[in-house]
Amino acid sequence: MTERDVEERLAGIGLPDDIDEVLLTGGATPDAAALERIRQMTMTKVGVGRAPVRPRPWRQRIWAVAAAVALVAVGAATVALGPSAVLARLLSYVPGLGLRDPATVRMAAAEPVRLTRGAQWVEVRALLADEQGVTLNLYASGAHLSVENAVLLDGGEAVKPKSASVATSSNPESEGWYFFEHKLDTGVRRVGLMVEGADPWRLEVPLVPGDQLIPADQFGPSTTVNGYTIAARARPAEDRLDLSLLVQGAPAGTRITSLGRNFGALPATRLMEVTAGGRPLTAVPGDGGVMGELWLRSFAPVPAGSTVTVTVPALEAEEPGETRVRLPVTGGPVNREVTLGRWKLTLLRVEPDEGGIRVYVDLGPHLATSLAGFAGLEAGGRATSWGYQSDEQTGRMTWFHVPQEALGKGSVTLTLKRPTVVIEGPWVIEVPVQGK
Amino acid sequence: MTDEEIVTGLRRREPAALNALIDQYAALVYALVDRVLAGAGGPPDVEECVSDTMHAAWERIGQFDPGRAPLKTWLLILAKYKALDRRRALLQDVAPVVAAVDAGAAPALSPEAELVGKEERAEVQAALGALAPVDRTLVYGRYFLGERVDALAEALGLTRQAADNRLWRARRQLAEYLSGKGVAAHD
Repeated sequence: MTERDVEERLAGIGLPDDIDEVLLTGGATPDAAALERIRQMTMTKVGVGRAPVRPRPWRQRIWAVAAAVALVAVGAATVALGPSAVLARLLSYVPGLGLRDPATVRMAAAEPVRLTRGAQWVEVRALLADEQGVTLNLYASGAHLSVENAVLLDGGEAVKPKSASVATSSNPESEGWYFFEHKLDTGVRRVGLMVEGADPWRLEVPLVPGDQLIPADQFGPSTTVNGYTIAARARPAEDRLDLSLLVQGAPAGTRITSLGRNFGALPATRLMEVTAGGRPLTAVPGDGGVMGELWLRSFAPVPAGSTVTVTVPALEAEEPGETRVRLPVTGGPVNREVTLGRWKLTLLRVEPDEGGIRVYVDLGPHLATSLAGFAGLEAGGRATSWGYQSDEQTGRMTWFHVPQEALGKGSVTLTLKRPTVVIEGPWVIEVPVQGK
Repeated sequence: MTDEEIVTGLRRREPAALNALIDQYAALVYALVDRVLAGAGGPPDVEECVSDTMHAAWERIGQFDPGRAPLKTWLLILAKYKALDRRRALLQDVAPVVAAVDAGAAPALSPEAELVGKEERAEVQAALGALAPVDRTLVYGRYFLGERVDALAEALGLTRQAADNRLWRARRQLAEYLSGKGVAAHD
């Protein structure tokens, strides 16, 4: 094969699927105003105004994947916290990772550690050593700086990770989750980290034992509404304010998916707000994530000693449950009540729709805690692409669309999965900004 | 929204799907367009080009085949061609700069014509994945983003000669890998 053949073969794929790794490392990023201009220009070109939207930021997906990797790696299940205050008192807060039984924690980093070189920096956001090994979360920012290769230095021993999940994004540009199958001795109070590359980075990370971590009930001020407690903690970091939120009270198997509701310009939109001195704080775009019951968000810096007000208007959650129902694909009234988890909903009617069918639903009354829809759909036992329409005022599902290719002849068996629930707030929490 | 939901929504002409596409991928498309324009235009050109790409996705979603490439890749290929067209147009306005710009590997094909079959795509992707990280960055910049070798060398802290050598070695490695894998030759 000649070099020309190789070039033709490369041209043949257009772009590799992982081109974003290159693009987002040191690449240009649009600010919020630029994105809004792009959106308006595009909507004008296609001849429509702003439309309902349920944003699902890139970083949120990466965090979900990374968190899953990390949790599987350490063999730890996410703690499903009931409303029991006793349980909360027994747990401790591991920064960047959430609540853990302190008896299982050998050591942890009590706060982030950052090393800066000019415009570049590498930061340890979370480190947990337990019986299984060491879990680490690293961030890096700077042109052509990646945390692709990280090595744990325990005394004179250099340990490579057993598993790693590294992603690049615009801000920060690189993030890695690692699991080292290496047990730290209980007396260790400091480990090193080497980020390998042409010019390696070495960080020293102080550690504290599990019994010196913050007990869950001293995490920060909290508010309880409709059985859910949200506790908040605010700490200034290098160039930002880090806000940590613990959401407790969810039934076992329930996953909180959103703090607030976002439907673009529609009335149903109610977003979390963080203010200081009555003025809204600007969120650091792309930063933050969710780890089980722990939510992390970063904002423009505010001085230590000040107070920020966190308002969470509502919570969205996914609960366990699924149900199967056989429907005609020809259209017409159905009026069939089905049970999905702890909820009942009624499939009202089927209508032919462009490229498939539209199934109208009645989710029952809108209460303090209400069914808002469902998160998964299978047709004929197979996952299918699907969409749905939400009510403009409440954000609750009014109908869903099943594509033609998923339909059988005469009828289709649908499996509705994971009911989505809205818990009404608001939770309003006054949070003092602690010193560094 | 998942990619599948976005594609379904675009095919059904739902503005919410276009909104979701912008939310999910505008930043990535912006980064690609900015790299391909390589200073030939300013931020308004980049934004206009990103918007053109999103509009093209709306108009051409019927040509998207998920069996050949993921939505993200298809969208970025659309963006690449939009950006190359805009770069050519912009450079015609500043003729003295043209001589300094290496058009690089920028074949004048349509996005859909460029997309090969799924299996061949996977083979080439696997071959690229076997490259050392620096070599992969060079190959991606040179052959997929049309960047100049000297600019890539500078960004990576390499001499021009070292960058050329690395590209040559990378082409050799890709040729060996693809030959060994038995991917059918074009000629």
